[in-house]
Amino acid sequence: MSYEAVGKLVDLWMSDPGFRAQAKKDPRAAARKAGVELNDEELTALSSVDLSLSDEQLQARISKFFS
Amino acid sequence: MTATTTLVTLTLNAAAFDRLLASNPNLKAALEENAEILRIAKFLKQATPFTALDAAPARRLAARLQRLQAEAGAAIVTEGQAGDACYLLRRGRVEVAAEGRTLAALEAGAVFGEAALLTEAPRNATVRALEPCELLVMRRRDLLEAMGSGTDVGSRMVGLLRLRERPARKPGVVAQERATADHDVIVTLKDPARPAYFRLSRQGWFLWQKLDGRRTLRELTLEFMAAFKVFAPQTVSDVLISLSEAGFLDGGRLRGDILHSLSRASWWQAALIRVRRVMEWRLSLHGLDPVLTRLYRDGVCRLYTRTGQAALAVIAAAGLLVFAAGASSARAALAGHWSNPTLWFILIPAAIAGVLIHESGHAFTVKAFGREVPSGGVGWYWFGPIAFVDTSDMWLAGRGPRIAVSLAGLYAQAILAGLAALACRLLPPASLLAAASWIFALGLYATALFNLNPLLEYDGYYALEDLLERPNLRRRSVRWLARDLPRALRAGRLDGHGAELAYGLLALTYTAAASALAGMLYRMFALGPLSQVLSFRAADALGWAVVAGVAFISLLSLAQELAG
Repeated sequence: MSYEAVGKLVDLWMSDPGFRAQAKKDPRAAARKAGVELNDEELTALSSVDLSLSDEQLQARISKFFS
Repeated sequence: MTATTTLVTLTLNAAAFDRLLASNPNLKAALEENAEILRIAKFLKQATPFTALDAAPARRLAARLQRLQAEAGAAIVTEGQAGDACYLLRRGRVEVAAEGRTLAALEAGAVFGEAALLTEAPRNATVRALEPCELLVMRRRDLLEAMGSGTDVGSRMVGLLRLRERPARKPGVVAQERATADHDVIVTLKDPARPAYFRLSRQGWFLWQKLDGRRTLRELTLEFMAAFKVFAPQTVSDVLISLSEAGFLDGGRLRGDILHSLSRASWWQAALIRVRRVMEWRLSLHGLDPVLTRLYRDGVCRLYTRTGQAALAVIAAAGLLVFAAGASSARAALAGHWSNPTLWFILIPAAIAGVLIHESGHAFTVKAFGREVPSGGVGWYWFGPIAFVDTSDMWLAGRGPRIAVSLAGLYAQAILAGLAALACRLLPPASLLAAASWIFALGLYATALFNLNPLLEYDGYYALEDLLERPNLRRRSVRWLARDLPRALRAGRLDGHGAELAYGLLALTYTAAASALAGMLYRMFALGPLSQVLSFRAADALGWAVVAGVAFISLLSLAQELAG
């Protein structure tokens, strides 16, 4: 994996809302437009941009009794 | 330039202008200063975090920035020192180094030193000029003013911070791995110092293990991509931000004034948080756990043996049967006792004992599973007074034990109600004590049913969220309805959010039903007597006010889940 190429995409993702929006719609085109050359494995990874994870702070469990 | 209307111009040729400036040094200095500010404003709008600034705020900010010259080799910021300014490199090159290692070389247009400006942390690197440099110094008050201009300067600065920082796990946090009902593996983090809890997915756990203070977001994203075959900088960033906001990362937490400034726009969220503080007021008694542990070891544990549980189950079942069988004849037996004040002298302490038994049921069941009960107390929860114990430590346990703890209070209540019903059966039928026992049992069964309602945040709610393996179900559902439902409707799919949709809609339906019920009860029991005191129109209007009040408070309690 090319550290510099994907690293550049991460930088763009964080700093450029325009790139972020385009990468969500068409990640391959966004990478091409940014001048980043990727191999097949990287292109496949780029096609599934982001995940929805369930990581979260757990709220306090306050066992209440309505009296 | 082309004139679009008829106009009159005044001209001043260069020679005359030079003569004017030569004879007015103050004017010359003022014009030069103004030109410099315009140049700085133009420069600012080319630097990443400030590109969104409008012309006027950019000029105001430019006028406030200090200019600094640095000779080659000079240290501009030093690792480990406190700082309240960040730097914009206008001309020249600088080198960034930490722990003796060179991290990067920055060129004109770069911003550095923002971490100390935004957080309480000391400087995390030394920045040294590689050649003569010109810098602009931005102090915290300048940044706060720029953040207040209504643009996203603040969030872009925070984005820059997240991109560069090397997050590290907070020391002392313990992790507990377990399988969910869907055979997924999750990890629950516990910070024993507060205590606070955080749930990590398999991917989140992967990231957590990498947070050693040496990797940046870029490196974490690359490792994440190698492990899970997905380009996910936003996911990685979101996990880090959530961990940071929840206080599970060492350092890097945003300063209070910066956080305040970032959230200043959402006035309604601030208002809802204030409302919540009042409507969910609690008086906590800390340090309960050692007392509960001792009581549990000294005798209560016998109730959690098979024999003890069998005996308690028999009492609960027999009492419920006796209560149900005697319900029809009880009303007549009670008739003569309602006006007897002694009845209330018996019932009030009995009700307090009922509350204590309910909460003890939760607390000792937590102890039976080897977990902690850090606090308990009394308070107010939206519609009425409450007693509570903090059973958050059960987040570290599996689904079955969590459900058991959630229902243990109701079970203890059912046992007590069963005892009261059996006592009522054994006492002389028309006696005051028999009447008190029956009313007590009725009250316990009725409040148990109310507390089972999963649409309010009582015991039934926790049991349901555990059953569904959906922590924070209420908040999650309200936020999903408010933020994601339109997108899901457009896409025509729920993407596994059926539980959130169902719970959110049921909670809204319950709000309407509770308001209607309040109105109905008012008309059945209060409208008549109040019409004797007030006019019918006033009593009727009061009824509608009650309905509106219940609806308003219910909706407010849902809306506050959006406020965070």
